[in-house]
Amino acid sequence: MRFNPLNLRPLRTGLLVVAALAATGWALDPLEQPAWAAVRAREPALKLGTLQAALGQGVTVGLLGGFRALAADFLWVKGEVLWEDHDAPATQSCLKLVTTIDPRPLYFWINSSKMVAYDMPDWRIRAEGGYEVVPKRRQQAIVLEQATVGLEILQEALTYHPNSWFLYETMANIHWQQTKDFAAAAVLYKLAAEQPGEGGWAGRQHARMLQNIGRYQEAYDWLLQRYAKLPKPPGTPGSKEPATNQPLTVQQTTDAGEATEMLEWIRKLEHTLNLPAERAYQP
Amino acid sequence: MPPAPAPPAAVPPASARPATAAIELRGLTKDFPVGLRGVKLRAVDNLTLDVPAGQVFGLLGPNGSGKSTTIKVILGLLEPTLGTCRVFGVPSGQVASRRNVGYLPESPYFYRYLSGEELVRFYARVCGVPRARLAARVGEVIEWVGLTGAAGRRVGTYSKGMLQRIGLAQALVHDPRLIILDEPTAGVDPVGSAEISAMILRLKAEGKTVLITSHLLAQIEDVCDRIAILDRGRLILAGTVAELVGRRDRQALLVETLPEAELAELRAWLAARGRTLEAVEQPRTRLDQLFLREIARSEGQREGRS
Amino acid sequence: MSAPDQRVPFSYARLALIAGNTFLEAVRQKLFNLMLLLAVGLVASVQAFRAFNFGSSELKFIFDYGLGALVFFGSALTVTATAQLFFSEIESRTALTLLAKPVWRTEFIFGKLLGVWAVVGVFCALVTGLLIGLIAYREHALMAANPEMFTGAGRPVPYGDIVIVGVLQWLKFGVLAAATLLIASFSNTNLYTVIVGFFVLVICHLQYIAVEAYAHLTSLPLRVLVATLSHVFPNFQVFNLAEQIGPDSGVDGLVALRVAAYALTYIFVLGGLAVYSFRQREI
Ligand SMILES: Nc1ncnc2c1ncn2[C@@H]1O[C@H](COP(=O)(O)OP(=O)(O)OP(=O)(O)O)[C@@H](O)[C@H]1O
Ligand SMILES: [Mg+2]
Repeated sequence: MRFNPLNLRPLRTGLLVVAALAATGWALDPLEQPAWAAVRAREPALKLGTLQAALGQGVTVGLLGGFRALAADFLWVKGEVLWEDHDAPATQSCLKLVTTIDPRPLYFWINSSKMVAYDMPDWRIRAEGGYEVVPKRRQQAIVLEQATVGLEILQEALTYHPNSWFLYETMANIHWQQTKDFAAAAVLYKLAAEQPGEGGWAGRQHARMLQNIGRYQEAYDWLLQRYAKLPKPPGTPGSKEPATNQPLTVQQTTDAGEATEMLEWIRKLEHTLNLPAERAYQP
Repeated sequence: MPPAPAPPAAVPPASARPATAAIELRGLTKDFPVGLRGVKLRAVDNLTLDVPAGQVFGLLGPNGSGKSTTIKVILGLLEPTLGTCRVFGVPSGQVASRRNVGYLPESPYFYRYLSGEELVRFYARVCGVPRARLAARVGEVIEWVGLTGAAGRRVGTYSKGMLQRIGLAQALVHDPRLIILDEPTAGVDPVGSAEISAMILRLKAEGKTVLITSHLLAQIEDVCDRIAILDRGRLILAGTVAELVGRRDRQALLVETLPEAELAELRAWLAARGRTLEAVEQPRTRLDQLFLREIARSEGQREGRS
Repeated sequence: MSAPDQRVPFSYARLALIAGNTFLEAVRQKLFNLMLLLAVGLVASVQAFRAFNFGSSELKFIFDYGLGALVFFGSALTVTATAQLFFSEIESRTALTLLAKPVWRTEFIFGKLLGVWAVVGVFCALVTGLLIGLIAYREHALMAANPEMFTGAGRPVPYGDIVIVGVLQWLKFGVLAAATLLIASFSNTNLYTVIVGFFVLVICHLQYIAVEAYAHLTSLPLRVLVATLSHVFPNFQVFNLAEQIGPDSGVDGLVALRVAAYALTYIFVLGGLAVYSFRQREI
């Protein structure tokens, strides 16, 4: 047996490995930087303030790269379990956590807001004794409260998805169906209709809301403007091409039906507004 | 066993026959770090040894005397702290030094998920046995070690003795010139041990060099040409078996049991020539021989019945 | 008799043999059954999230979820399988027999690496394939149910991009396997390797924070230190190219190629360092 000075070999190996890795890291910077910049540009920035709640819940790991989506998904399932138990406060905070961790999927925002604005008032009214027992005014107050929270969720979602017609439409739906604020609904349906990708329903809803609050002239003007933009297959009023013997495609049949329906609507409004026949719209 | 013509003192110095040595160890020392603060355990201490080509060489010593460590250095699995080691002239640190070496580790354990045949085939391919000869060669060594019936079974199901045999097969599959067997008979029954001894002698007849460690000294004595004894990493004795254990000034005579009167006559006859009868003993069959004989008879009966 | 000139050249055949044997071990040790179970379980569990029919955003949701699962379970599988397949050789002393043959340690290490990488590759292919199958199935069902969702903006599901993302994850797992092998080459136990491996995985995901921090440091020595440390670990965030897949954009081919080159370089460097460290290891 012999006493030797410390064996330096593992230390040397370790240092060499670290040095080689650092050199590799630097050498690869030209490859890494552009790729990282491209990825970074797409990552929604994490808001550290709102994340503090999340960190307490042991989901720190969930914030790392690809794990984020997974952690959010699992929390979402937890939220749905809570939803089935009609546990309003727990569901609400769980949903909040989900959208904080992964604000990318629209799905989370929309469904969160719907649960809050549509399901929770029902739970609360039932918990207070049911629709027969709870006074009407109290019921309205509850619905309004929940709708406000749902709308706030969607408002926050807009900061991540500013051009989503779906978000505007969902907000408008809440005003229409829950708070019965048709004026606000009209404004939001119009916004939805103006976003790219919207299918046309929001535009018609805008006119319907205006009608509901008696603003017929505005509804009429809006419909005329919309009608002008509608595709009109051969044979429909206003189409540049005359009807042919060729059968229409599925798409064309749908378009023709829509155009015809809207024209009928316009005629009804002309009737309501008492417009003389000579001022009636000519497609 | 060939008679030893040379007197004990005349072991030729290793340097006198460099070309024939299969393994050359020069001042080999191996320290293992144990515990903290750089305390070392010297497992092999300044070992200088030659294993001549074409011989069976026994490396003996008590547990922990450094036999396995020496073998690992020879195979390049451990790096010597001091000294050098060459195999057929190639330093054992180089991959090329292992080209002509077959190795059976002590208490071998192989890939459990392979069958015996797959295992041997894998090692054969690793050692570069040409594809054309692969199947034939694998079958040959498996038969050689007597595992043909179990070759299709997973190695994980093998018994201790079967593992030793399959280990021997993988050590031999590429037809190496040097075969190193670390306790090939550990856990093997006497029949198996005897078979392994026979195999070693066959290898020797083919001109191979065999390095073997074992605690079965009777077996070592039967098969080895030379032995070296280690103790705590140091070489304490080396030489041919005949030199080391043969006694040339005594003889044993084996005769039918003599009546007391005839024995007295024999004593007188010897005394007349100035000699004495030193011992009269009842010879006993060695237990291993008895075992072998009885097993052979039982097997013979079973075969006769069936 | 003696031929000191006989060389044993490095052999790809032997490397492939060792890789094949490693792969076979994984297959016969029922590792694959586990993986298959995992993959099917993941896909089945995605059904659980489909509480709401949410049109085309559901597809995005399935994709995010599936990718998250691939990243999470793939990382876990890579670290544990690498450590397990390496230490099974060391602990059962089969490495002793193998390395006593004319085998280069380089062949051994890269053989192990390749074998593990193939195992992980099968997992990636399995999950990606199942994911694509599920998305295609849902896309079909959703298109039949509400075709108007698919008429506006938003292109059909970019299946090609999903495959690219799967391949990039596999490359990342290659880097992770090489790093784990480097750790294994000097560590004594399986458990230690797995723990350090996961630690490194987390650091590689978070190193970008250090990179961003060092840009703001003023003290020069500190800057150099942080810069060095941040370059020692590869940046795993660059593999998150899935973020680039959106309604109007796909994976940038050039970026993907850069990331692939980044990964391959790291695999070679880390593998080489593992060989360097393993050569000093006493078996
Ligand atoms: N890797 C190691 N680390 C520390 N000590 C070791 C190591 N390998 C062997 N030793 C020590 O070296 C000495 C020699 O061991 P070795 O295995 O060579 O003995 P042996 O002669 O083969 O014994 P046995 O007859 O029991 O097989 C022992 O004291 C052992 O504890
Ligand atoms: Mg031993």
